[in-house]
Amino acid sequence: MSAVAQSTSQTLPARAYVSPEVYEREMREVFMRSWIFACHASDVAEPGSYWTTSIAGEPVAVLRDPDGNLRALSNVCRHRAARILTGEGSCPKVLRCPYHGWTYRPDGRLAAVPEARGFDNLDREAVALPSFRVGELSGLVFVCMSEETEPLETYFGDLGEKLERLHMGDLQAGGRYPNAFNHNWKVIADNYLEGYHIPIGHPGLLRLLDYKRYLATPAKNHTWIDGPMRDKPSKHYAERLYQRLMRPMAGFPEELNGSWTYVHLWPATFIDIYPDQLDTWQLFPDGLRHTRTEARVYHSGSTALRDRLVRKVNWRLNSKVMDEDVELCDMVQAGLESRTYERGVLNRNENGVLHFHNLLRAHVPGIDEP
Amino acid sequence: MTPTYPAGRDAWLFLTPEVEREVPALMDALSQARADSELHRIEHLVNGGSIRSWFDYLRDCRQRLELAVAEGGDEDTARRLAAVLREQYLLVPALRPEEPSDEPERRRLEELTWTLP
Repeated sequence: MSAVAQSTSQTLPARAYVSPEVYEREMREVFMRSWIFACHASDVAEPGSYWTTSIAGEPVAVLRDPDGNLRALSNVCRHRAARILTGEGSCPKVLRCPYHGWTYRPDGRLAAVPEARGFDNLDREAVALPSFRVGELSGLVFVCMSEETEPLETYFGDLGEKLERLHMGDLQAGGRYPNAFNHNWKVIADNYLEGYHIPIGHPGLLRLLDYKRYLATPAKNHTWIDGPMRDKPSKHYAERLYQRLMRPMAGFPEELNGSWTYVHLWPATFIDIYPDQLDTWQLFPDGLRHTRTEARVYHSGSTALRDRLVRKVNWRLNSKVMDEDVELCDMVQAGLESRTYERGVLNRNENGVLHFHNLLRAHVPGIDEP
Repeated sequence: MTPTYPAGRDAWLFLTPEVEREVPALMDALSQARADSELHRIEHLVNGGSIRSWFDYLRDCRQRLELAVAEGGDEDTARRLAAVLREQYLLVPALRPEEPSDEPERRRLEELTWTLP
C-alpha cells in the first residue's frame, strides 16, 4: 500500500518509468503528437540549408526549399531505409541518399533513381518522403508529426509572447553538445521541473539564487520558472566572479535581468535563460532507460573578453549543477526499479512536476495505474 | 559502526530555505525584530556562514521566541516559529554528530509547541 495520503498531490507511479508499454505509448501519443523543437531559425535561414533531428526515434530533416518555404521531411530513404541527410548543412537543389543515390526534391518527391530501369514497375510519382508540419515560434523551429495537433501559434499558449522579448532569432547559435544518460526521459524532466532539491543537491546554486523567490508557473504546454538571483556577493570565487562581471546581452528584457529563468516546453525541451546567454536542452528518449540529449548555446556574439569570460564561468557553474543532477537522477532511476516503491508525493514547490505529470495523464490515459 | 555524513562544507545549506522563508516574518510579527534585518542576517549566514554559526543563530531565535512568549506575544505565531526551529534539530543528525546542546534545544522547542495554548 502506498504511504501517500490521498489528499496530497501524487507523482506518476513507478511503473510509468519502467514499463516498455508506457514508453511505446509515450512515443506514439506524446512525441508524435506534439510540436517538437528542431533548431534555431538561423540554421535553416538560407534556401537549401538543412538541419537533421529525430522525433520519437524517427529521423527528420528540416530544410528551407529554393522558394523560401520551411519544410520537414522524413529523413529515411524510401528505397532501403538509409538516412539521407546527416547533421546540418546545405543541399541546394536536391537531397541525395548516400547509400544508392536515390534523389529527392526539397518537397520530398522522388526526383531521380540511378539505374532506374533496373526496377520492375517503379512508380516514381508515388514515391515521396513523408512530409510533416513545421513552423517557427520566436526564432525557434518546431516540427509536428500529427495533422490533428492544434497549430503551433496556439499550442504553447502565451509562450511566444514571453519568448519574443528575448529576440532569440537574432542571437548567434552555437554548435551541438550531445550527451547521453542512463535515465528514463521523465526522470530528467522531473528533475529539471522542480527547485525543491536545490538546497540539498546544489548548494552553490542556493548561494546564487534567492530560493525563497524561486517560482514555477505552469501554463499551457509549458512551465516558466523564475530563479531570481541574490544581491549579496557569494563567498565562492567563481560564483562571485560571475555576479561581478555578468552584464546582460544587448536588448535583454529588463524584467528578466537579475534572474536565471528556466522554461520547460512540453514534452522534452528546455530553455535556460541567463542574462548573458541562453541555451536549449533537448531530450531524445532512446529506450526505456536511456536518453540522448543535445544542448545548444545562443548569445549576442559579443567577443569582448568580459562577456566571453562570463559565458565561460556560467558554463562552468552550470556544468557542476549538471554533474550533481546526473548523480541524483542515477539514484532515482535505480529507486524506480524497486519493488517496494509505488509512487511519490509532491511538495507545493514541485508544482512544475505535477503539471508535467498531469499532461502525461491527459495524453497517455492509463499511465497513472500502478 | 562509524556514521557517514554528507561530504562538503556546504551540505548544511539544505537546512536554510524554510528558515529564510518563514522566520523573518514570524520574528517581525512576534518581537521587535524587523523582517528585513532578520532576512539580512540569514542571507549573511547562507552566504558565508557555517553549520556552527547557523545553529548559534537558531539558538538566538529560540531565546527571543521565549522572551516574546513571556511578554505575551501571539501564540499561534510563536507555535509556528517553534515548529520551524524544531524541524532544524530533527534534520541536523543527518549532517553531523550530535552536539551536546542539540537535544536540550530540540526538547525546549518541542515543549513550546505543546505548551502554548
